[in-house]
Amino acid sequence: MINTIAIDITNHCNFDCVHCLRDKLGPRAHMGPDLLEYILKQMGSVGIESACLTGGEAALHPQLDRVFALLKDHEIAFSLVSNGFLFLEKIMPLLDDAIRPCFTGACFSLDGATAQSHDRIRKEGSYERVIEAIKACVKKGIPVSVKSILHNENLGEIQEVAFLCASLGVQSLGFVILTPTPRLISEGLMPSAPAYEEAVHFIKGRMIPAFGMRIEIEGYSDPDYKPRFCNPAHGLSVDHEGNFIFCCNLSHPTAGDVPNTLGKECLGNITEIGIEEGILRHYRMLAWFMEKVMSGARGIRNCTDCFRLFGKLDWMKAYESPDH
Amino acid sequence: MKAPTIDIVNFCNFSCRHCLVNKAEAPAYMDKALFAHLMGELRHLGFHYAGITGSGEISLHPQLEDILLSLAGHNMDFELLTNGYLFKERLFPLLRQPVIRKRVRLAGFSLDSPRAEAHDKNRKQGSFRRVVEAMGLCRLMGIPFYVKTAVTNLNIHELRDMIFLTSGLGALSQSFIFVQPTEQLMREGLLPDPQELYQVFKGLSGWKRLFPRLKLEAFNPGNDLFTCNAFYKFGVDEMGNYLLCNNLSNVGEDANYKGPECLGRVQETPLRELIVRHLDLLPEILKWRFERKEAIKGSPLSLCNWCFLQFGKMGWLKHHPESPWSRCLHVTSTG
Repeated sequence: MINTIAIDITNHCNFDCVHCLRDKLGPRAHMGPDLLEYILKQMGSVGIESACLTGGEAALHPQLDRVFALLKDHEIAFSLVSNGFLFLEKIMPLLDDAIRPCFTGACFSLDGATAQSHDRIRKEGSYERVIEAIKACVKKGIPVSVKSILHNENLGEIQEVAFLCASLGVQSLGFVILTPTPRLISEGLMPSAPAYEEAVHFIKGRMIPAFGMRIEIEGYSDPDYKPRFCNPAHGLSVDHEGNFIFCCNLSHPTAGDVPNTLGKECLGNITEIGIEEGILRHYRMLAWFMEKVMSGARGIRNCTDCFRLFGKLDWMKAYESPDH
Repeated sequence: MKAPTIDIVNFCNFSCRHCLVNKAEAPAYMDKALFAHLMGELRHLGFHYAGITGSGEISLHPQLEDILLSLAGHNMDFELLTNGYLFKERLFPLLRQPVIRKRVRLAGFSLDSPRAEAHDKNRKQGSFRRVVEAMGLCRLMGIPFYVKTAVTNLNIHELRDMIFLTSGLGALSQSFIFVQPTEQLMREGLLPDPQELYQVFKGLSGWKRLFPRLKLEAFNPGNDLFTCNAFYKFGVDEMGNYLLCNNLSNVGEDANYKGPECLGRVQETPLRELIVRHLDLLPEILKWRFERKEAIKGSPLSLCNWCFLQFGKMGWLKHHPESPWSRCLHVTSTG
């Protein structure tokens, strides 16, 4: 059921994370205010009243004040996803009394319970900054959620990450099962399936019942439950150029050594087809996709299978062997 | 896709004015063999929860024990919806069985008024006392329960009292339903004016912060085009028909009428294929709504009202072109 749109307002980023799914070889660009305003008008025309700003790193958008003002003017409630590095400098000052009522929450990336483990994945000094951003949001009453990836070097830290988040006042924590990237594999950070199974078992069986904070596992679903709905069943996604993308995770993923090209996941550009046709195409693809999801033992079980279905893991052939 | 709602019976011991079900249809119930087949299909796809209801009253099902044991045997947790009249005699002894009790997650009851005489007038003499007693039995067994109330002229001025009553009785939630017009409601002067009803529900939206147990069904203050059961769940009726939405079950002007909401039979088609047919229909539903979006967004109606029109369930309104409901839905005497 559509209730929100994820909008990539930029594909620039100040980090270079090993697990990042985004293509870094294509041209860098920010979404212009005119395109954003067009999208917001289109959303209003069909009664969609909320958005999630993502990227790239939203804080790098050079006209973020204009972005927020447009959202407010069109009465769109919005949240945003940030790595937190520039949150206090670039984003928090814009959340003034005029904007704050429209702002529904911030989602930060936190990949470890210590500076050492987080900064290993992100950037020197980033742990301290994201913790300060979380504290500042909580202090201002801004709902905070956290995404935390699970890789080989932090699987032993998941309890500490959850304890830290709960102690800071985070409302929800999503542990993210990774989709492979070339660097994750070459640096040996991609967990094996049994390692993930063990982590999932622990999170579901022990941590979720123990914490008052909401904890989810993203990129994972019960393998026995076939008609499961994932991201595309809940909302639309538009990239920085205005293309409808079937799932935000499929937005411009890395293709290895060559630039990504848009494929089946791209449903058309909003400026050419309008939001109504975009939604209709989205639901037609959802029916096709769910047929694949439910189609027995070779069905789509997680985001990695989905990436494969959409032809986004062709680069992995170089790494594949019968036993890996 | 979330848990399905299964209609196990189409006949009832009441004849409520707001009831949508076509009473001319032959009485029927889901046979235990069909139910077991459906359970197998659901489990195969990994479902482990179901809603048990009826376009009639579930406690009248002649094989109720087999049905509940089948749920338990398939490790299916379930909730049930009943008018409560026969709860003590028919449901309570079954729900007490440990193997069944283990699987019951929630019970729902229909209650039309905080006043016994008003509830009984719409239902049956003594029904208010019986449904309140049923809620007490649920508390005794530790089964959480909720209450549903279709808002009509019968109760439109006593909704706050309803919240007080059902909260006091220990209900998990009190749902108010934005009613679908029926000819009987209209004939008996019980059908609210849509504008008045809409304003009442707007007011109720504001009450939600005051009363955490309050829920609204078939109403969204934003009049959006997407808040709709069909986008995340499905129904199966007593004959095994897969339904786009359980609210459309056995609603129609003619007996045995099945419209485009019926996507096939679970006896004949794998459930997986029926779900894909369901999802294939969603863009068509949205296209219809987009073509009427200004009317939908500007009207004092619920999306369910519009859906009934889309699925041919409002044909009787053409005989009442002067009704404000007809005007809001743009139904004229020519259809």
